[in-house]
Amino acid sequence: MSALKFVLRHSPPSAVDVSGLRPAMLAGKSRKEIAQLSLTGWNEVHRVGDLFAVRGDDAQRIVIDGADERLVRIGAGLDSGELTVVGAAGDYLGESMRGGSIVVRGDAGALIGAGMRGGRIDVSGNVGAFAGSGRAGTLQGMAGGVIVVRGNAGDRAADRMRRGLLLIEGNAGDYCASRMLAGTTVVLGRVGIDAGYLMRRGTLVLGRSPHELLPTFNHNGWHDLLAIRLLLESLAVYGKRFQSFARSRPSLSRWLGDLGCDGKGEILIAPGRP
Amino acid sequence: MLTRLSGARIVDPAHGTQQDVRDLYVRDGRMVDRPRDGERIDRTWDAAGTIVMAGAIDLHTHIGGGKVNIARGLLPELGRQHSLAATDVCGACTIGPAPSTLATGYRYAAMGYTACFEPAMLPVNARQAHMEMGDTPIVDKGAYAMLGNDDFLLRLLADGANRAEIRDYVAWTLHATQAIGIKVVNAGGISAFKFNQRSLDVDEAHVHYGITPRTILRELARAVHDLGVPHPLHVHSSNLGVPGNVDSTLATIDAAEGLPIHLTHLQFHSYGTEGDRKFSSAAARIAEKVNASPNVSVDVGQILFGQTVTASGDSMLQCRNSRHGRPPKWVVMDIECDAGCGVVPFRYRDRDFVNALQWAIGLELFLMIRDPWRVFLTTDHPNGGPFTSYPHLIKLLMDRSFRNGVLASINPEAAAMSALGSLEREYSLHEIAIMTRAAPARILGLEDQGHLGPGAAANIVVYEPHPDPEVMFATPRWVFKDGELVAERGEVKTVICGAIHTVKPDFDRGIERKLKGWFEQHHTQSLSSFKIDDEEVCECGRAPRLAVHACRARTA
Repeated sequence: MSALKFVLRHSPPSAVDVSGLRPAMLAGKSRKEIAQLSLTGWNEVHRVGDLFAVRGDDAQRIVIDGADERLVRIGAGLDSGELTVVGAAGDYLGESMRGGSIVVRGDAGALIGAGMRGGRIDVSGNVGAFAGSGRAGTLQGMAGGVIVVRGNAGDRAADRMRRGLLLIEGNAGDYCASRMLAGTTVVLGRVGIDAGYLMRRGTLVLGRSPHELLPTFNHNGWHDLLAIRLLLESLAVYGKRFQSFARSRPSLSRWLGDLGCDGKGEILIAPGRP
Repeated sequence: MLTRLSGARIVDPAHGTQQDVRDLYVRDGRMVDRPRDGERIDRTWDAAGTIVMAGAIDLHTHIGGGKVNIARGLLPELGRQHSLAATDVCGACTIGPAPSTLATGYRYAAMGYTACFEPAMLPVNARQAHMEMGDTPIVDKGAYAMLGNDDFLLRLLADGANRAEIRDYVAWTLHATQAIGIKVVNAGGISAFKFNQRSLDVDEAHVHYGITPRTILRELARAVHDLGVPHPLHVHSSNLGVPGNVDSTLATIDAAEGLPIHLTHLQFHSYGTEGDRKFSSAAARIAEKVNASPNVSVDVGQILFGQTVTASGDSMLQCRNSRHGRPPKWVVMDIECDAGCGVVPFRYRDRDFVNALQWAIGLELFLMIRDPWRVFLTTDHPNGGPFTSYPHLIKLLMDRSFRNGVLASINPEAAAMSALGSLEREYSLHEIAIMTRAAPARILGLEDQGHLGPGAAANIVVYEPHPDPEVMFATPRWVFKDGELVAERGEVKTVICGAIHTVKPDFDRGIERKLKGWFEQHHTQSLSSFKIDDEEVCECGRAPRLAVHACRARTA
């Protein structure tokens, strides 16, 4: 059996919700039946067969080829199986997913892994704002699972994050880990302004010193705690850059805040140039 | 174009109690008595075996004016759970407790409603309100302008202005905002909240202006009455939702001094303080007073169990309620010093003592107030529950055994404290037609709505009889609006734009001199841009016509 492959024929006129292209929805269906399924756009409904050429037959391994940013909610609600996206993924990639894995060979839009509870997302390129956060209106962001971004992330990464692991090899934008509730976020590159804004609990690890921290964070000293070492070593499985970061055995500067709310969060900063 | 609807049983309380089977005729969107001699009937709808009523009218439903938009923005997750894709006829929309404008129009029309009235339009927000209502398709719209917490009126009253001046200001507001009535929300209380008062009873003085809600209520009720505005002053009484507020409500009725007033969402104002929990039903006392006061009409504001969102101009009480918000988030704000706004999401639970008793109190009011011409069917959408639950509410009123079944399943302590189980009354179809059609049309002064006599707008709802009234009222077979088929069996067929209903009483424009100075000194915009003229309201309200209803001034 070969992976079930959807090759985008042409870019749709406006965003289309392709969350239907996931194993639970496609298992046991013939290619013909799949081509007849409908996908909702803002103001129009598309047939799968009109948008995509469908090949292969293994619904547990799905490939979306030639994707562009108008395909939104790719893998939303995924609970098992593998989904590979070649090209750019739109917003809400892996939204509310509970299991399985999504690999993007390219960039992804805003709100990847929003409200995610389990599973893993790997993006080789950059991602938009609100990675690992929650959809508008929800009180909690990502609550489980792992997101790995090889490139840069936009503003408000890990906003309202509740649990799980968000790993960013490149830079993150402004207000990283804003309103964070719990969980762990690691940014090996730079962060923008006001990291940890209104952070209540949780851990933000920064590979490089930010230019400035919020005045509502208090310095808590330099640490080489066993817990931190175990944390960093556990990251080694997520790629070479995390591996070498862990091996450098950095002594981390620990800041506590945001005292503007609960103030039980921590920002751990590796020594190094800003 | 002449259309015939044949063979239906007609329930039309505006024209008597008989329910005879006869044909209805529609010519160019209006009801006519019979065809002219030799006139050809272009189309006949066979309605044999059905029950026909005029289009229903909701006289108190929050469908525009900022609050609902804030609720939509505050709770997008509720809309997402109920989103509907676009069809050939309808645009994509979301339903749920704070439905989008499109869904509001579609669902109302599919349920047989052809006119909806927004009860809390802040004058400073009027333009936005009309635009939002303009975006609500199919149904006719109108709005009540909110007065009674605005600086200009409170100054007039504090300075002991004469009645003519107050009357002119009220009339000017109706013109400037294109409203059909005047509403007062927690008279003086929203303003007092901003002066750090956390409650204001009917005879308590506002710390800054030194006047009491009683004065505000009396003077506004008089002004509305003297101007001849058909709809009496629409009153949201003091102390909404506070245990023991029955006394304020009774005092509010007395404050009108026999002038017509309409008490809105009365359920939230009928609470006593008896029992171990200091919360009890005072529906019997209220109903007795209403039954004995022919100048009073009411709508109930029934609560129904489930998730909803409360949106009110009463920032004083919404601030107090904010700790009960589920999910725990809320907005309470001032609006341009004109009044306020509070949005608090609520999840009414049948196992909760307070919620269960609120549910019972609403039904007690429905059943204890005897005259269906003076009590209207509302849930104060979305405050007590979304309007989509009206068919369920109708079933509760029409079917005693169903009602008692629900009563047996709610919080037993609340059920034991309520007289509901002993109330035997069941509403008849005729009475339902009065409270949802004929009576709201009469009390709003809509001469051509709410009935099926010659000259009326051809708003016709064709129901298939069903032993379960909820089924019958949820999905009428056909709904005609101005003669056009807009919905069939719950599905929208044609999307049209409804008219805007207003009143324009005569007044002395000299009041603008005084207003101009006040605007220049205190307001964020000029008097001339504040006013909305007929052309603009039709354009921004997407209304094919402005229906101006007659006022008969009662003073020289």
